[in-house]
Amino acid sequence: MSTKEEPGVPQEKKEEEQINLRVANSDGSEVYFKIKKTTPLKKLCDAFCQRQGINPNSVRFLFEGQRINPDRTPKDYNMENEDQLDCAIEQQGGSF
Amino acid sequence: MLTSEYWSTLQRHRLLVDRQMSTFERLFNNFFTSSNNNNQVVNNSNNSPARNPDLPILKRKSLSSSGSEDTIDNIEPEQVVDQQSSPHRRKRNKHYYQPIELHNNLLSNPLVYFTNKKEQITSLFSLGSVAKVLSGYLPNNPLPLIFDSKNQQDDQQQQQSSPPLSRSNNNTNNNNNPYTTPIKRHHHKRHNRENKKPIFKNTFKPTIIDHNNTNNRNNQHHNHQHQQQFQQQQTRESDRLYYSDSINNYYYKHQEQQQQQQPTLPIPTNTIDQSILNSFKSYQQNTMSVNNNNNNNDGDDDDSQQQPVELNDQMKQSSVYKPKSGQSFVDILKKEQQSKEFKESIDQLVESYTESLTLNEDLFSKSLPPPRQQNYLSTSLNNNQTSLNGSQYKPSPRKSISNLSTLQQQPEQSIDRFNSQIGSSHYNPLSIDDLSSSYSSISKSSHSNSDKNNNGLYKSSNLISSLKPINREIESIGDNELFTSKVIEEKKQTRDEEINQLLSKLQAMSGTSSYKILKQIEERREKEKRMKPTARELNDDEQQLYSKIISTTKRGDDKVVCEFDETIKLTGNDVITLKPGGWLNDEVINYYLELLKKRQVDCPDETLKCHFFNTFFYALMTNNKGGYQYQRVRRWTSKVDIFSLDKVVMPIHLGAHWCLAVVNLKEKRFEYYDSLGGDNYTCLGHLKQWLTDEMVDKKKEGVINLSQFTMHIPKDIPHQLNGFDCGVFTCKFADLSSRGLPLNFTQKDITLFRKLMVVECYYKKLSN
Repeated sequence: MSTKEEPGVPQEKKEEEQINLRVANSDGSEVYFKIKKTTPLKKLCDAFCQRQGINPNSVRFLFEGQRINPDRTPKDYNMENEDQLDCAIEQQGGSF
Repeated sequence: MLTSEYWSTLQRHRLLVDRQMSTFERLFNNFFTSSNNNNQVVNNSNNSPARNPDLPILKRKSLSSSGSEDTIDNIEPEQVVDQQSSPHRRKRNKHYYQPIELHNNLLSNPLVYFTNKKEQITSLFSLGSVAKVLSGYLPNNPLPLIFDSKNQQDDQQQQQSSPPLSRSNNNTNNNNNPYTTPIKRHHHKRHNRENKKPIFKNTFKPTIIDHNNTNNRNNQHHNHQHQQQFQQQQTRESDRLYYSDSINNYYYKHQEQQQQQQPTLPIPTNTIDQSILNSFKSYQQNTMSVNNNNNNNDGDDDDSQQQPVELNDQMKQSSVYKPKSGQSFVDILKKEQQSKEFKESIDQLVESYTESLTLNEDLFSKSLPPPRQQNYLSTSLNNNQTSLNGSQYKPSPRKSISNLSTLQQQPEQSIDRFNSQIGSSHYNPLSIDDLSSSYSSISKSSHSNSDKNNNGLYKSSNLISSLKPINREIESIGDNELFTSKVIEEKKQTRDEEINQLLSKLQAMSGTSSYKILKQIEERREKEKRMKPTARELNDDEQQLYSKIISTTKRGDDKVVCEFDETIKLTGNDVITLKPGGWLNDEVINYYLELLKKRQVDCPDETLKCHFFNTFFYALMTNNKGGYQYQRVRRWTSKVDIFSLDKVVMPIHLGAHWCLAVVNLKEKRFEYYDSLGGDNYTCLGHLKQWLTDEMVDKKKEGVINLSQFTMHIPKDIPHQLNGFDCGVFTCKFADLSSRGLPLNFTQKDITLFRKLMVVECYYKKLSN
């Protein structure tokens, strides 16, 4: 749980530093990722978008309500195993 | 002098006018009934062939040379009822009084007359109100003194059998006067003019004067039976009665009677028409000829005899004298009778329709009707000359009541003119020249006449003594300044009353809840005034920056334009949404929310303690409208204790619309601001549930009593008038709500807000 995983490929067998992160998209479906604590979250985001088939520019990844900087690592956000990332799609509105 | 007449005319006008069109027909029905009653009385007396066939001839003789007679006749407004009842008389009238008959239509057939003159009447309404108000001011109502009230009662019992005392007294005085003949002239002139006024006065008050008297007179002149009765009395009292120059004396007496009966009458010292003087000379000549024809005249001029004298005189005159004296007499009597009938009927009507009268008062307060119409009316009502003179006589418009003096004089003038015209057309046109003479000449002649009177040509001390006080009275009454001042006072009083009423109402309201609400609204308005609109024009630097940013960015540009921090940044694609007409995306709003947060830190005193969730909070909490799921946002508040805050502010994204939801912990309500005016109780319900779960999750149950929370979706907020500004509205709602300010902007301010937001985002600081 406390293992650090490299972004992109979940469940990559590495050292103890890998952690499992859940990424939940806007409709509630979750995707688990194993990622090293020192790996930038950008890899995770890209993997998620690739899997979901969505444009990375149209989604926002949130952790505890805060936007995450893809260049940051889970260590920077003190992410722990089984923590959840939220993937919110872009919002735009003017009227109904 | 004229004031009394004027007042009388005003009274009449009021009466006429106050009857509004709605009640017009009913009123006149009543009027008809009353007039018919009078007609019956008169008819009874007229049924007898009292009229001598000689009368017309005599009358013609007398009239041919007497312009003064003409004036008197013409003065009479209506023929009275006699015309209708007695064809004989009508014939005669047709022959001699044709113009007058036209006028008589007013009384004889008022309904037709007024229907024809509907326009006039309608225009009179305002006038009537004025007259009414004015009448209320008269300290001494110009009403004639109630001389005959007693006599009238007596007369009613002994109708036509006994003449009124006052008349007899006058006669005796006249008879005593040695200067009768010379005096007669002046008197005659004088009275010719004066007679007009007194008659009008009678119309004024229900006081009465001459109804019975008129009947008596008419009967004396027109009823044979009554003549017989009078003759009997004459025989009984023949001892006393007497005077040689019966015609002149009688006429003189009659006029004097008129004068004394109505002491309030103004004495027109200044307004004697020269034409009357001339006409009177001819009249005297005629009378002399008539006297020669009279058989009954005894030479005695005993003055002490009073009642009998008059009776005898009348009786004697009635046979021979009728045509001439009868003309003047009858006319006067008719006038009186008519006026009285008119007055009575109208009084009844007015009493029955006081409501309409009260309504008319308001009209007066609003505006004073043009005096011109007053003039016109006065002439029409008093003289019934409008039908004839209406076209010719059109007084110049007056603009204020202060001109009443001129107005008062005009009716007289018109009367003279009218009389002269009639006289010229039908009779000997002695006075044509005088007729053409202007008003100024009339005044001059009147001056000369008054001088003559003063020189002692007429030395009846009684008359003079009686006249002087009258003059004083009239002067006091007729003071124009007094009128105007009183009118003004009345106006002020009415205004004060209205103001007092309003104040009292306000005071009464002060204790009620509505008053409190009004007060709150007032306070709120003041507060809004205090809080100036947040929109402001960009200064030059800001304008340059804005234009530069907008011009250098385009949709789809990934280049970061504004960077709040490493995660919150705006690309060109985001900033471009702030251009007018663009839909704001989550980046911009979240960026703005970050600015709000920053302001919270920078200026804690200016803002409430708020927490701002970003645009994804609600979307994630509800699983993107899939349902409430607290777990997804459970850790969003891990670093914040929302229960210590005043407000929790979060934008709500509804597919393509931005709204703002606020958990107002301070006022214990869930607020929802939708620039399109929509409701979203589902959202508020989720917020309530979230708050409940939040308490449980944070182990702070009971901190907040959610049962006290209410749903608040205000509708009196700024609304967007297009399809793309809701994001800006939402940002401004959040801005103002976080500061506790009223939402005092409008759609017009949005363009400025957009520009400001660009600048603010660039500077990473809110401008206010």
